[in-house]
Amino acid sequence: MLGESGSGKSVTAQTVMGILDAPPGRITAGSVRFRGEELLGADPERRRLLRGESMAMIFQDALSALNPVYSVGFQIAEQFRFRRGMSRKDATARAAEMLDLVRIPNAKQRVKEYPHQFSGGMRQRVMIAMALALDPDLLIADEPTTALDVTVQAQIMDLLDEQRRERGMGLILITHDLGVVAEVADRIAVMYAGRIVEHTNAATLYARPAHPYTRGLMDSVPRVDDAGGVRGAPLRPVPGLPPSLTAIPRGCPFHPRCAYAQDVCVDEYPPLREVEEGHAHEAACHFAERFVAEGPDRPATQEVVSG
Amino acid sequence: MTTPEPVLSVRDLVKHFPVTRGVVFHRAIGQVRAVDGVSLDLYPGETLGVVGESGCGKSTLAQVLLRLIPPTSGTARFEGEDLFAKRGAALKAWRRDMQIVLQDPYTSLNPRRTVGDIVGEPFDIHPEVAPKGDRRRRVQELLEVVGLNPEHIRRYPHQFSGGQRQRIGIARALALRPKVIVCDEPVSALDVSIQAQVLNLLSDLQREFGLAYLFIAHDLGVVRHLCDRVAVMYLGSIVETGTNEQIYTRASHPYTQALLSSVPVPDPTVRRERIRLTGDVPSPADPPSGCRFRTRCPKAATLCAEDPPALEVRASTDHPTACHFAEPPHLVRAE
Repeated sequence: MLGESGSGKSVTAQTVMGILDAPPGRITAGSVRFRGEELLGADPERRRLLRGESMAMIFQDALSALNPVYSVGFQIAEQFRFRRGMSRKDATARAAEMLDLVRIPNAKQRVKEYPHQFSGGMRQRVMIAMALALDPDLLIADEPTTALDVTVQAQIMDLLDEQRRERGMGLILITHDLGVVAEVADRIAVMYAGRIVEHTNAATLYARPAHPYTRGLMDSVPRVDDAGGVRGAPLRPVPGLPPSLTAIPRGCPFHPRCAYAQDVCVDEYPPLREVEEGHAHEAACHFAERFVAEGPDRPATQEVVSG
Repeated sequence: MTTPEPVLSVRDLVKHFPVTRGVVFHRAIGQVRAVDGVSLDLYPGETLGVVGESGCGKSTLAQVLLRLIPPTSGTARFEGEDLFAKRGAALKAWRRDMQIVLQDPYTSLNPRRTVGDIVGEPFDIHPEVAPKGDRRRRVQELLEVVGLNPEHIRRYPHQFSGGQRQRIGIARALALRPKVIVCDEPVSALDVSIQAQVLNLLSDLQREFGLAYLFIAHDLGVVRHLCDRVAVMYLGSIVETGTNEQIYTRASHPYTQALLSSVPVPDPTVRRERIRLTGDVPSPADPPSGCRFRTRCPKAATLCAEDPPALEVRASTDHPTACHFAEPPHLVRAE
């Protein structure tokens, strides 16, 4: 799930996990089904059982997600003790195995240490170990590498991808980084102003974006693999600002920033619909077909603009 | 870049912070070697990128060069004059020439002051730049230059978005018409679409005012886009430096190569050879002997533990690199 701050990625994930703060949050409509079972409105005890056991979540800021006054071993072992009925000793041994699995060196010693004694990347590994402890079917990773340096980010993404493959686990990766999703995601949903505006497989999304916002995001990113001659050419940012979620524009929420907006975009909300037959390519734009057909050489969304 | 005289010239700059123990008597028990022998030149009108991961000393370098904290040793010359010898009026006058744009647009603006006050404050400190009656007009001009509505002069920072706040910070840095602006991670707190707007603004301002940027960043894509020359830092030292093209297409230090190969490229069809570093950056309070990078380096040999490699042009490279085994990349670049 790709989107900028305030696009609704995290709230979506929290709703799926059932950890949305309510109040003030209220789920007013829709459905979340996990293996066919409706979760919205389900018994809180049932949802508690699913969390950790069937679905788990990791967060951007591992330091504030871990409890500072318990050792990391205690926090991982807790799950084995209360969900699996293991003794404290066995649970701690399992916790050390989990740390070893996420490649924390000297796992047996480090299991006794506290979160502040770990580096940022290692803390993220601890959180992954904790999330994977009960072997969930679904892992939601909310910006797991945003606070990390690139070399460490690469290590963590490799670890997540490897664990997903080995366990046959579903991974929902929430990020704002177009590079990270391009490397690990099979399918990508782009969010804007609380809605999915485009959804397809990774290759199609990058080759033939059907929504002007997706295209705008791609044009905004300075790439590290750019050929030398491109340097100095202005980037083509999406003009303006994302809307406040208390005042989402009517019609298509992207229309005030869209270079292709027509009258219909102001009046009618474009639903998410199939754009390319046989590619499972959905977009929420009145002109998505035209956008895809014109291809990547279509003129820039707009030249230099101020916000 | 062909200009012979650098505007800022730094040699062997060192900044150590003491690690102390004890409440009443602070005994120094060690040194954090935040910056440990950095030399660089910044020419008028160019952008020098300083890249490196957290804790490599890039922000400390900026603070020392802005005379916000004193250096431990080393020299810096600004237009030929000794920067660290400046005192009193000379120091104050020099501060006009070198300004900073900070990373976090939320904490670097005073929430109780209006935009007009914030952008106009440099004129209070240096009244010779703008006579009192003229200030409001000057501030409005500055707001317009950075793409903000000049009518908003009475608004407060919280009434602006992150990208707009960063523009306010840039307007403040521009107020005194500096020759050099240090940009310390100016876009890393912003969303990509907003980041691109601010990067374009920085490019435009550089062209318009002939500014030199010392551009500190961890985002290698941003640095490639904006910088003429690049210096790569690791644990307080520059490990490789060269032109944009030299660094991005012919990086020869294993750290630079690993750094470049770690950056995810927004294109699922590109598959690159990955150089994966293991472990974390060692503590700058206790750096490894010899080459700082050897503990994570895939090429490390016994020589590396004994002999710290100098930053110099080597047989296999066309730009300075601090590695005994420097060699051009096999396939670090995509395509």
